[in-house]
Amino acid sequence: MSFNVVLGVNTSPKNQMTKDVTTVATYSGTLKSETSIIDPVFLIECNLADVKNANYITVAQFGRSYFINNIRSLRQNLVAFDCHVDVLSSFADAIKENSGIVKRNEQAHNTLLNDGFFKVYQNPHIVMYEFPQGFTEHEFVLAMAGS
Amino acid sequence: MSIFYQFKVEIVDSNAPNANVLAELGQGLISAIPTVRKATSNTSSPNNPAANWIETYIESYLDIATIVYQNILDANADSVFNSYGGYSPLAYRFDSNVFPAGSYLRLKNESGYYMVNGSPFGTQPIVAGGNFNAYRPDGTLIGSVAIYYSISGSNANITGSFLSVDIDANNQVMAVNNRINIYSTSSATQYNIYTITSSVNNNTVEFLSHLKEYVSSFDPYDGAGDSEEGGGDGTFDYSGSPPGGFDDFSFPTISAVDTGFVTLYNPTPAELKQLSNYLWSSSFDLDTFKKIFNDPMELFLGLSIVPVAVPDGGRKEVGVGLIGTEIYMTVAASQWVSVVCGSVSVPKLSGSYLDYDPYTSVEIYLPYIGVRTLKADEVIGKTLSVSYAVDILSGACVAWIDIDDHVTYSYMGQCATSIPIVSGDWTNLINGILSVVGSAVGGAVKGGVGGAIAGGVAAAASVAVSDGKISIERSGSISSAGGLLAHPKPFLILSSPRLCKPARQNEFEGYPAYVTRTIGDLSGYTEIEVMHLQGIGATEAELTEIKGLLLGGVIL
Repeated sequence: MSFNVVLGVNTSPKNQMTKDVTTVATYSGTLKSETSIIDPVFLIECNLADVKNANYITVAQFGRSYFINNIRSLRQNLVAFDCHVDVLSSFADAIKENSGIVKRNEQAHNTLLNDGFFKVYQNPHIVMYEFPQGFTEHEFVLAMAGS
Repeated sequence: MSIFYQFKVEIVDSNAPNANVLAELGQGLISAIPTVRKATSNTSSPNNPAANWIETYIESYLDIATIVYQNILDANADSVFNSYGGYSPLAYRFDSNVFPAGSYLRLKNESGYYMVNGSPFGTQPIVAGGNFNAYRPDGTLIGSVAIYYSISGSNANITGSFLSVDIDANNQVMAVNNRINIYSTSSATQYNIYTITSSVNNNTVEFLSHLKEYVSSFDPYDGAGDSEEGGGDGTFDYSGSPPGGFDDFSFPTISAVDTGFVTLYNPTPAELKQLSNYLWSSSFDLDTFKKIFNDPMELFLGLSIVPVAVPDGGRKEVGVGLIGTEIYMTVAASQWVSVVCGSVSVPKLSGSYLDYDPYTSVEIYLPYIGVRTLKADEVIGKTLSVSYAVDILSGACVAWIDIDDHVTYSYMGQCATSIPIVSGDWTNLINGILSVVGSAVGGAVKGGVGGAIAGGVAAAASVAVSDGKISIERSGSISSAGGLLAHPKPFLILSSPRLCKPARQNEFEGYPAYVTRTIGDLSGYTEIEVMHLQGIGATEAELTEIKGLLLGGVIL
């Protein structure tokens, strides 16, 4: 069974949910026998030189995108792509519907929570605040017996 | 844990078992010790995979034979029990018209349900069999277990039963299978097995609950302070009823000057010199004075410098006993004077947990008192006001520290500097100063590593914040003569951590959040504390990877 394989170049971090992918080419590919949907090996008839920069594959028919772990030339114009599924991008829409308790976030945060991630220098700030008034008058008091 | 089944042993007419009880032979108690074990094979439960089959083994013993023997031992009984011959004579008696043909043994529980109601297998030996009905506490039937009792062999009788419980991969109970083994305890030879799938499905918990009615606890600590559920009944009302501040304070309505025994003058230096000159002049009639006092100085209770403006009570001639001096001085209208030092708003410096204890320390210098430590938790982000209540007669002063208009701290000091007017006063003054200096030197450096850091979560940051710091006593007691020469205004000293924060730190590792959010509503770097993934059409391995990534940190 053959299917369309979109080869691309991913420039985003692996742990980014929405990848920035530039398409290199679209081929018709097949699966190597005894492969898995999570770690598939795609066989594509193409020139290795044309795809050597690709690091990302999208197979719409599988509903998944894949990181290319390795590219192997099996023979002339037959290239094998060892892949691993990009679960974040493949299931991004469904993941975004889920809720959870957020431990850390770039935007929504509360720095009054102590998790020990701040570092401090050894020399602290010494800040002084003087009160505006004080004891500015001095007078004698003579206490004598009687009225 | 033991399970007990109590019942009566009866001989009944099988044609009318409820109406015709031929003999009540006695009462018995089956004690059972259930154990749960995992099956190693599925030979006894072929419809269920071995890996998902567990069984509850109930080993029961009842010497029905003894009960029977003891109760039908009548004139016709021609045998006695022997451990080798068993009860065949009893069976003989049973079969020889002591009871009518067709009679059989049954067991009846205390609720009236027949535990054995089947037909007898035969007459020799006596065998009774039937269904054991398991009931819920409300009396409704859960299911039935085929169980047979026999009186045969030297040891005989009820020997055991199995309850096997089928569970699925998630440990959910699917069905209860009851398997009854009846065998001779003397030979332990199993000669009959009944495997009956009960009608109990997916409600084994109820079945077990029923059995628990019979559980006898042997916990020696039972009832000795068993733990209980609780909590969660807080009001979350943290408003409290805090005390008022110095503005709400009122001085005592009476003072020493109201007594007539004491007069407080507020002389100028010139007036004091006038008085001194008068006392040492010929104008002062010492002889007349000595008719009243032994020593003229007994009149002078004290002369001091106070750091406050004495309230004006008008001018008055200074009287030395009954002798007028023609020297006029201002008298104090009150013994009590207030000094308001104003307010300081303490900002949040880093806007983080570092602004609070134990990372930030706060001290306050109070004139005539010294330096005192305040809790950063109470001070940061609040407005502090300092006011003094001063007693100009004794020199005692109390500093009020109001936080957001509520008195939170108060310290006492001494603000009057005594001026010696006789030799005794001078001695007291010097001794007082030496006492203060000694106290200050003795407590100057407390030393040691600052140890106010709490453990646990704060430990990591606390090392960077205060490790190796020593605690310095900034001042001893500053009072009386010393206080007059010290700084006259209160001030705060904050030691706040100097934050070392890399640029764009939040982009790389975020900041702590601990809020519940939908993933789609978040952006940027995100770590999830806990979540239960659902609605994702991925394989189990993929779901595990997704969860791992979310917990480890992703960029949304």
